[in-house]
Amino acid sequence: MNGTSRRLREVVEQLAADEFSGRRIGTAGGRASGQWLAGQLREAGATVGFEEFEAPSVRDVYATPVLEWDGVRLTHRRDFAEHLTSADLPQPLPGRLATVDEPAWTGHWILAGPEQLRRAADEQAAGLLVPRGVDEAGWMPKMIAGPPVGAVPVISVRTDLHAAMTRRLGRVRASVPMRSSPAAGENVHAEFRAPRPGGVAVLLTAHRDGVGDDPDVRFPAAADNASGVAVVVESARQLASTLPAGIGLAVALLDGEEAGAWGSAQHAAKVRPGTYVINVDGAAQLSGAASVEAGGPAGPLLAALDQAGRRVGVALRAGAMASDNRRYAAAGLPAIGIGMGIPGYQTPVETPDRVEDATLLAATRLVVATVRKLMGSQE
Amino acid sequence: MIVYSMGAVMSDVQGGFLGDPAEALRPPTAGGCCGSPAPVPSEEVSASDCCGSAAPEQVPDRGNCCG
Repeated sequence: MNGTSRRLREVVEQLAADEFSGRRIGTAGGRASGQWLAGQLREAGATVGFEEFEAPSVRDVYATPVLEWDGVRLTHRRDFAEHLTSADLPQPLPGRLATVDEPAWTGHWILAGPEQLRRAADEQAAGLLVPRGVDEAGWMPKMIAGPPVGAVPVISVRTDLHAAMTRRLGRVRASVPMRSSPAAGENVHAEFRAPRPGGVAVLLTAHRDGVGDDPDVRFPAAADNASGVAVVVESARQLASTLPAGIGLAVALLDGEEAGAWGSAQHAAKVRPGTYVINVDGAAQLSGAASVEAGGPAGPLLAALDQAGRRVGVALRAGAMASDNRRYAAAGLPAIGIGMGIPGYQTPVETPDRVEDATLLAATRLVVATVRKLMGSQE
Repeated sequence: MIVYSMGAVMSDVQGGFLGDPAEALRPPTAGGCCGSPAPVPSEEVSASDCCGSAAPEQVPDRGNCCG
């Protein structure tokens, strides 16, 4: 393993470590990971600063939810999960299962879709059980941002299990210990080189936060997005010493993306107009082609990316990248988002060992070559 | 051989865009988010399934991350 691969690997493994507890915005682990990254950026020669902001509403599962069906305890995130519209239900509440055909819902757990939220609240149902699919490994990925919180507890149940419950009914006992509250976020900014007046500037971004550990289960968030952070930090390190004088180079390691892209929303309005933004979200397992989404006046950036892809042998295809790049594009900046795979997406098995060294290296080469092509075309 | 929706054949391409780079300005909404492979099948309320995205009503005037 060469020096580049060692540095990339170190960032991924350190960010995924127990001490950072999944890096959810507003947590001690999240803040500590920002401090660690600031040290890495200073060591790479950057001037580092922090930008604080508040995310208005972040979900926090503060105890492991319970779902028992006729006395059998089901498994959180395999058989069921909290629904993001759920009201907080701290203690298990027993009740009879019923379908939407039940004439009176009071005190019953109703097997229905989320469109029944209003009726469930009006009739004081115990709560709703709604069907949800799982990923290829049988997990329900964890989310912490979503629609507004409703008035009744809502639990997502694995689709086949939901169908079985609908056939057999019986009794359940369930809790959804989940709060929604504001959270303090902190972007980490690093300036490697200031642009000359009127000169070209590049901003490399990656979100550094994760969805956070559950009370009893780790969510390492190694791919989403420790891998992207590693690529951005290493790319900046390589570019800082080789770009022509007068070209600006900065890095933003953003907080609160998983909670609604709040860190980039805060930052985008402050970025100098015309700055080229390259966001990396997921660089862990390239399968075929990297996904690219562009926004704003991104023509030159796309041309440079295309040339860079040909140079370093990375295939690219248009694909939705719902990440911080959209905030910068919405602010009128030329912005692209690049995704190169997230194995185990927002589940406990999103671990460092599933982040491929070859993909980290390929992503770094792609970003570095893109910036060099872009600067070459601007000179 | 892997054939992508844009019609290009992966094994024929060494690198760069499989098609017109400008397509990235109008990316297909299907095919995963945040670089993830296939989206997880879900019956959740739609906005909650897009990684890192708040519901539209939570981000007025900022351009929703879910697009």
